[in-house]
Amino acid sequence: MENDLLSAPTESFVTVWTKGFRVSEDSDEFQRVVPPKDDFLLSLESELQKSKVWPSVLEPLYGLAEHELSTQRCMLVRSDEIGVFAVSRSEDKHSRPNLVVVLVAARIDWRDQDLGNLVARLSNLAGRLSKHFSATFRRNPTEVQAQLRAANFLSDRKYNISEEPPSAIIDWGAIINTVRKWRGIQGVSTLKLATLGANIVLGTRGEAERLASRIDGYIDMRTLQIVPLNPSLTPWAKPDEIPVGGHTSSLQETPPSLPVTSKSEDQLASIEQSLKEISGSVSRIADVFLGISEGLLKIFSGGTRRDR
Amino acid sequence: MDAQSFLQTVLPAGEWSNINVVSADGLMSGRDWAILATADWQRRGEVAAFIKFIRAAGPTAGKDTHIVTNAERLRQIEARLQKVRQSRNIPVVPILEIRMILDKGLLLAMERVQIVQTLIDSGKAGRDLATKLLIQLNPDKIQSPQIWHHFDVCARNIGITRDGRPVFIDIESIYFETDGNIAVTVPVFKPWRLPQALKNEVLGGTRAEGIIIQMSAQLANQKLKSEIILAAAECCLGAIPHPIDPLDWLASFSGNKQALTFLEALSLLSKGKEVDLDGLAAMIQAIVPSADPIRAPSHPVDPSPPNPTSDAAPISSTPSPAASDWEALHETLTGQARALRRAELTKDEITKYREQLEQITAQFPEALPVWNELLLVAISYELDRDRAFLVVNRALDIHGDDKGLKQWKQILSTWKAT
Repeated sequence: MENDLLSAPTESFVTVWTKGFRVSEDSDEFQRVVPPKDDFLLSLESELQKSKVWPSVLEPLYGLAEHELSTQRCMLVRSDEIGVFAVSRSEDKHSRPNLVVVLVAARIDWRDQDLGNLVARLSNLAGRLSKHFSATFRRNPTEVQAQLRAANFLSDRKYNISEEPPSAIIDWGAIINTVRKWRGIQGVSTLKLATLGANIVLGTRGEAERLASRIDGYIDMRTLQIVPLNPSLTPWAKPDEIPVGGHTSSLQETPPSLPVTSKSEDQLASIEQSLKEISGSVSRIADVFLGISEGLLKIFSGGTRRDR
Repeated sequence: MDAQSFLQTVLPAGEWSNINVVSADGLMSGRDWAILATADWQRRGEVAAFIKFIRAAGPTAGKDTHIVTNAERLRQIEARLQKVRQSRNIPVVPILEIRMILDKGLLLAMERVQIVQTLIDSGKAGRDLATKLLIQLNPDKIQSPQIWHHFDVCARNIGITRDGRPVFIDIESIYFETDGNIAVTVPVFKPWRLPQALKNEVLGGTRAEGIIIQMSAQLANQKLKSEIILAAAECCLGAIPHPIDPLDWLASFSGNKQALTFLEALSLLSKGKEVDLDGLAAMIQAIVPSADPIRAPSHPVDPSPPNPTSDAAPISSTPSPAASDWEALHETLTGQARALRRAELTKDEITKYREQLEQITAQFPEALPVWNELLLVAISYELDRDRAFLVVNRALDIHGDDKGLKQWKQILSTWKAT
């Protein structure tokens, strides 16, 4: 039943947004079309319902080439839920560009060894459905409008995720492994979907720094490790208690939510991180001065020799 | 609203795409009871699907329509098919969805498969496929908690999946045993595909009211094996022409070891003996090294309309140079007979075909095969009990000794009129 949100691990929930259909709102504006009502939403879905992110999310997407749009993904993580977004292009009834956003979310347990594989399947399903729905929504057919309003567009918005092949576009296994090591992660995203609420981007330092106000770190695509940009992210203080592979030495600090350290340890970790960064900055400044000194020395030495 | 628009309205647009109606008529009837269509199913990737949507009888539906497609019956069919789906060992076509859609009707959706009849007709069947059918459809090897029976096994109702497995289609013809018997509503199987003795036993099993045939589980097993053997034989030898008894057909391949092997097996079954299909498959594999199908000797009657065979009917009526006028006339309807069995005729075309047959019997009352064809049309395609009664009584006035006609009259007598 829809109200049984304590779903089995292999169940995922599909949510769809687009414009041109009057379903959850009494207008043609961009809105949620699956499910039509606010009942029985996962907490991730409820958060999005209340947020005002959509204009800032959608605007930069209209100009993307088809291939770039189809590879955009955003994964949001919570203590017991994970969801992946995908976007496709469509057309409204006035032949204007339209976007179809699909979220596929599932209840999870961070101790699950196969979490990366699950996320890869969520990603594949989100991408596949967004592409299919973009064709179905094209020009906002009236029979589709009727089905959306009557909640008949899908026979069931729960999908058995174990039947979905995992996506190979992004190495979700490696990403989940690195996410496990850090505290403060809200989500991981490709660049163009980061405004959905992710605070880690898949990209370079430069790209991440351009999004500085929203982003706390980036994933180095060579090492597939999170590199923090500010103290918002902290590694778990006791690595051997992190439930990597489902094993932990301390049951008290074990999920279902992410492990929690004491406040004083938080503060120490934060100070340590700050000191590291200052140390790094000082080193870099020293390097610069050394370089300038050597350069000046060469100039004066070289000039004296010429005069001879 | 046309069938295409109707389907697009009732099927969830988020799960179904590329819907194309194949035929708006039922497989075994000229009525508009079922819509057949191909489509792509998007719930689990893009699966090529075949849809049969049985429309629920509306408040203004006629008597026969109400019998076959009232909501209660559709729910019973749904329950039975869900049971088939859950019986994972029965080799049926992969079922995608079975559910009632509001008050509109029953949706049956299954993976699209390659029909064995098509392979036979195009000469692409062959020995390897024959042995595959014998081994993988062998009912003795299929573990099921409940005895089951597919009532209409023929090459047209066997498909090959994408991964090469033979499976039964026409899943509504699958029934389960209760109290040692298999009870089947609407005898739509093809009696001419059984050896005479076995056919008589099956047709003689009417014991209940309504259009029901009761068979013992053992008889059902014999019938099923017989039909699988015949389908396998057709893979090797080509489609059986009509109106030939399968044993006579196989016997006509003089000197052909494969035909002889199939003939021996079918003969044993018709006498109530046990036949091991795995052993038969091994023998067929061993006989001919080539996997190519052997072309059947060209039968003069190729393939004329089928009819329930009887002792009085000529076994392989050859239109000799001195062929009678009615046979020549009957042959002109061969194309329509084929189209009827492929469910390609509309309701009006079936009526026209029936009228042409009636013209022949009016001119040539001695044309027993044509009477049998008329009976077939009335029973299996028009589902018209009154007309069927009329036909069988008129036919018996002329062919009073024909056992087949007498059996059909007995069956029709128990066809409950409502």
